[in-house]
Amino acid sequence: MKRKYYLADIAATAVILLIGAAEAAHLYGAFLNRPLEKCMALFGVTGLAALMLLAAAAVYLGRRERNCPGIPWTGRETALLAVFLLLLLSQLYFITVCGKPVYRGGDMTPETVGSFLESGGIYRVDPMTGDPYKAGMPDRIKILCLPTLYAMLCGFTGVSPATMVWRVIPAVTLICCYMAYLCLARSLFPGNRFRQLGFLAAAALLIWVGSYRYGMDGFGLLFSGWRGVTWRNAVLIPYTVSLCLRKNYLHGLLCAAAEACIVWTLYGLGMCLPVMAGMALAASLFQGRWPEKPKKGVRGWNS
Amino acid sequence: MELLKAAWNGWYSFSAGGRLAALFLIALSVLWIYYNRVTQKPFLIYTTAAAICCVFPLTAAGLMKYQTGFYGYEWIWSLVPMTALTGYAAVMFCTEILREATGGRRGKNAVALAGLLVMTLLCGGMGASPWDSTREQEERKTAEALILQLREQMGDREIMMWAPQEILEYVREYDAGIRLLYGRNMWEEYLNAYVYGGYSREVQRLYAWMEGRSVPGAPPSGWECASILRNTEVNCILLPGDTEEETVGYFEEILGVSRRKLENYYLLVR
Repeated sequence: MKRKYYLADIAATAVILLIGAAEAAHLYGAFLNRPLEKCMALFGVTGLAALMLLAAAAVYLGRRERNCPGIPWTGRETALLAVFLLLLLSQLYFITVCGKPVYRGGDMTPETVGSFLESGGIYRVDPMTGDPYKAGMPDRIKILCLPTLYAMLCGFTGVSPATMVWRVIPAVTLICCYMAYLCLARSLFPGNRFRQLGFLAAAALLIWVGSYRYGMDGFGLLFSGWRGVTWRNAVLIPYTVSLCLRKNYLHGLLCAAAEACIVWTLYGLGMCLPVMAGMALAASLFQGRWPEKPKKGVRGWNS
Repeated sequence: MELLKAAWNGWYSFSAGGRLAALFLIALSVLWIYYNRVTQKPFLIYTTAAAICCVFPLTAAGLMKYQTGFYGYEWIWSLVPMTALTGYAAVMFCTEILREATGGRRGKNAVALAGLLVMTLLCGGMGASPWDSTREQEERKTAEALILQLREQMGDREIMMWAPQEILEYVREYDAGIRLLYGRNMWEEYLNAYVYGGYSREVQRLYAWMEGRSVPGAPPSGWECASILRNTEVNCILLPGDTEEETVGYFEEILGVSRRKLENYYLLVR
């Protein structure tokens, strides 16, 4: 039977559900003008409920994976895992410790988070000046929840907005990105652990290499990992593709909903939905024309 | 028409500076050449179609229109899972195509893999900052030290500040309790997408005077700026250390304050 979900799905879905919980808290605070503490309480309750549900799912999936016969790791697989972990750790070090520059052109997230914490509410003052808004702000921006999520995390942990936004969150984004790529690897190479690890190592290398230009995945992850567009391109879209490959379109809608909460979604459709539509169209057009040949000697975690 | 022009130039600019876009096209070509070996054909077909739409100016302009024209050309590439497909092609190449081409001989395999690795590394940067960040980092350090000193001097008093751009740029990132007469959206126009309204003519003249920029009409004078400031809530003014003696005198006289030296600036506190 073809596997539909893996343990890595839990992590990717947890992020989506936490974004949903943050959006609920954000709308509560921004449109009902509630103080940040109340938003934090709401986020705490809904976020915990979501995480508990997912934990239950993780326990179930973990039990199911344990029931599958384990295949011992080969030397080549261990070497690939080591390469991938080395690349991941070097990127985490680059983002968090070594004081690398951040790309903040056209972005005012730390100021916005700081203004939420200072004023004790959401969008009560203009983040640029600290004065009350003179003519308001566009609703298309006002509905986006990432600044509130970061402000709530600052509130919970006591970390300064700049550290949270520029150091902590990009590290989390990077880890979530690799969770999404792990799901994608398992969808692209089902049952072949060697290729899955090769894919992860290749993706990690490409992210290092792709740091040279604004708009590239690597640039987003290494220099501006807190932005909504980085979350979308590095986490939501790879995860959407992985779900489409497994034909879990309903679950893919969650990605589209999460995107609507964190990025200004253009005319309302964003990028995840067109990706899903394109993948579904490609799958339906070519379904059955090129049946996959069974591979010989395939090794894996989840076959 | 403007979108079409941007889409026309977009691909050239997208593929300049690094070669990851070219590597992606090579990856696509390899997968199409060895089409029969591709296990995830819908993935390849979707990515190819999306990439074609992003490269050709007409379809690219359509996608930019879909993006409301607000985002730049590079963001239409969000539709294309570039990293994923390039990684997929790399794995397929190393595990299927290469092995067959070299007849499974280890030496040849290793040389080909090393060549591929070098080619990939030459395609872009390895975390080198693509913009000049040295000045920004120095300015931030100076601004943070200044704000710390200001906080010590002003105690618990609420601060509303007017200072040169290189200080104002970082103030609210560091201390959201400090209010500003104008913020980064004065010189980074893109940030005005986040807020309705703009700055008054007087505030714009204050900015023009402080940064030595031209404005329509007569250039603002120090006297005029001091007069404008008298009617605002600004209580903390930083003037550049090279401001003329006479001009600093105007500020002292009109605002009824006396100067202090703070690093390379004159500090005037009301």
